[in-house]
Amino acid sequence: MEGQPAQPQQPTAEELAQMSPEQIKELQMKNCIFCHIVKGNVQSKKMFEDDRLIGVLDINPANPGHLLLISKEHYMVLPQMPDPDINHLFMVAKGISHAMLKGLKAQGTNIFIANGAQAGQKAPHFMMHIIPRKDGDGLQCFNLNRKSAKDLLKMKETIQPKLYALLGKTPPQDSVESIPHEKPIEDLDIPEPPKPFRKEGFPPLEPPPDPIPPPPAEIEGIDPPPLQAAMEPPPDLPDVPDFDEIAAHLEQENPLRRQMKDSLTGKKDKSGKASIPVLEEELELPPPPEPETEDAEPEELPEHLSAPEHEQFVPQKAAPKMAVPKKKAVKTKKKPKIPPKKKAVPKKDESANLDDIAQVLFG
Amino acid sequence: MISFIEQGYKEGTLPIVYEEDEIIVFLDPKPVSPGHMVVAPKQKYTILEEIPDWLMGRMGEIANKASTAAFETMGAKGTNIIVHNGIPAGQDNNHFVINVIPRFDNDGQDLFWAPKQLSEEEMSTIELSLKPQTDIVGEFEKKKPKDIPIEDDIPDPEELDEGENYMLKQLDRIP
Repeated sequence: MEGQPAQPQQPTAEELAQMSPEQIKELQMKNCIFCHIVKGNVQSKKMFEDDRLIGVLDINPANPGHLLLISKEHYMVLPQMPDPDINHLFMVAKGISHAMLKGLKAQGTNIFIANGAQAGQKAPHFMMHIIPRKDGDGLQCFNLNRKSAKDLLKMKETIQPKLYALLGKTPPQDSVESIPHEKPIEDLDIPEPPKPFRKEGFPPLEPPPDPIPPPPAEIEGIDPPPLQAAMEPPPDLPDVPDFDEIAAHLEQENPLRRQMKDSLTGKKDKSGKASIPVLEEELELPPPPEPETEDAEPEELPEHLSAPEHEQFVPQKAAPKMAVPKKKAVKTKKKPKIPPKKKAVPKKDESANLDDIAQVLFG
Repeated sequence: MISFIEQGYKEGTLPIVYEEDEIIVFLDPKPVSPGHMVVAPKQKYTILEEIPDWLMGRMGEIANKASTAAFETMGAKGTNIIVHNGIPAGQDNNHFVINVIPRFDNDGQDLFWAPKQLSEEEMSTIELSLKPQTDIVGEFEKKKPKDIPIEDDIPDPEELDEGENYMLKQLDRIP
């Protein structure tokens, strides 16, 4: 097929025996023309290049467009190639065959691999032939001469275990007579119920407790903690202030405070004056009647006019009784002064808004 | 048209040497030489273009192993792996196969071809027409994982009888 170049130096048989396998390999690669083609030392028509393959047009083709798929690594025969490379090789072959059908307008392709000289291998380097075919191109070599079969069962029995062993699987135990597509359905594997998951490092789950727990056994020898110790306040809290002392101190400073306190509790002042300090200017009531003559008259008013529950306001008489605690009374007197001011403010704003709105709408 | 391979596989008459999910290897009933094996996909594909990429790769691997098995057990001197793709290529039946043929002395089969001498012009035209097509060859289809079957208890409303079909029942409802 390809005329090999003149080989200048051939090692003798003795040297070959002494050489290590690496050196033998190097020698092979030196003599191998296809390794030179792969490296690029020899001119060739590259059609396809990959990380592990090269596609080159054959110089002496069987048909125009005859392509050789060469492996970049030096393998002699196909079984030397690892399985993933073979997978890749056949996929590329399929792609190139398709490219030939499209590009060269072929009507068919032949893919041909020769392992061994008896099979037609002419070069020591592994290659795959992809040959485009057309109707009437005259190639008869790929037509297979078929003969009658002999002893197929024997051959099957010899080859089957070997093939399964090579592919790493066990052969089935069915005999030839059984029909392959009527194999029994495998039994369904009922999965085990899931176990409670527990992360590593955690103590194992305890079984759940009984709904009615058993009565606790009497523990002997352990005294219960003393109650007094439990009732004592913790020492961290600050001392509670003595409110009575603070009140007495305040009374000394402010005498009015004492008067207000007595009026609210109902105690009468010795002076006879009203204990409530009320300014006479704020009152708008009519001048009070004479206190001596009109003591009986309020009692003689008809029933529908009199207000027996509420006593008429007499500033000079004793103040009405008020059963109200101290602090609240103080606060209620101060409060009515403040809210009217608050109410006045929003009213002004509302009126202002309305005026503005009216102006906007009407004019 | 059912191929003889599919028919033989169903009936169980094929001498199957190896079986896988999608590929079978069996001994050819009309062999070229003793030990002639055929690697075929279970599904019928007519030509190479129909076969997915990953299937072709897998068939190639199995063909390689078959050739080594034949070489070691039958005592062959060499093996051939041949693919006929298309009638002009010599395809015998409409089921795509890869032939693995062990070779012995005096087979009666010569796979030699007379090399043709082509001129420079013809070579260049071939180069120009073929190169753009081969540049595209690169990515290959990978095997897709099988879908996990989901079992739903919900019946398809179209398959239900009229009495059970809730979609029809709701039309009869009077609001």
